[in-house]
Amino acid sequence: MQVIVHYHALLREKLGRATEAFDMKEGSVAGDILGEIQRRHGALGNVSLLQVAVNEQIAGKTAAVKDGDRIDVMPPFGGG
Amino acid sequence: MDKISASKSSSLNAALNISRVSVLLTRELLDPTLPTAEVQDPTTGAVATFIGTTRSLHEGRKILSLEYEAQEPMAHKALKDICNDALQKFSLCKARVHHRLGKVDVSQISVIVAVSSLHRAAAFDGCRYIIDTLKTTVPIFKKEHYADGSPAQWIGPDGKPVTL
Repeated sequence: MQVIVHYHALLREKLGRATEAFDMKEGSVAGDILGEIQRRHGALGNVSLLQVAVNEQIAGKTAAVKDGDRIDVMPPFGGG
Repeated sequence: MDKISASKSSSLNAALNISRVSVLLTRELLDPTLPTAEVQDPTTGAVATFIGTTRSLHEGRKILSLEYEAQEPMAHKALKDICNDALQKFSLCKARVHHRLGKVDVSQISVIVAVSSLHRAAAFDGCRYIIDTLKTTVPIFKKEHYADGSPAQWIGPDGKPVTL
């Protein structure tokens, strides 16, 4: 299955791209995608700071993902 | 707000088709008179408006401007959820949040929170709840640009540079 990952703010700048497709195994969870990002790009540092949203809902690292899902990976927020 | 007053206020709003919660994310300059006027209601006795502006110094460094970006659909929904939460928690009548995106120069307004309630304590508390919660739970990201030309930095909810 394939998911499209959207990077934001510092993460987008660090990786040099706004979106990226990942082929994942069936049964993968949100945390697996973070692992794939690490494997592909390395040097992500503190992954625990990142928040993941599945189809624009904030999700835990164990949230299931399915083919065609939109995944947003976001660094710490700074509004206000 | 007591139950009868809340019910009257709610009926009036419904009759006038005035939304109790509204959120704006915009690249245009913010005007605090608009959300402040929008939350006013004949059934309420208090309006509190918080205005966040871009200051010229942060942690001893001279700021040129801020730059905000957001996951906009998520930020919009999260802000509405916070406002609706505040309506319940503090018995507010109405709540508005207007937040800038893009480049915000020193002294310009970056965020406005306006709420109305029956009495002032709830208005102050509700307004503070919304701005405090916004900072940690809404996917809006802030970058500081410095006057000395040093590299811009993304800033987290604690006011410290984000490092990954």
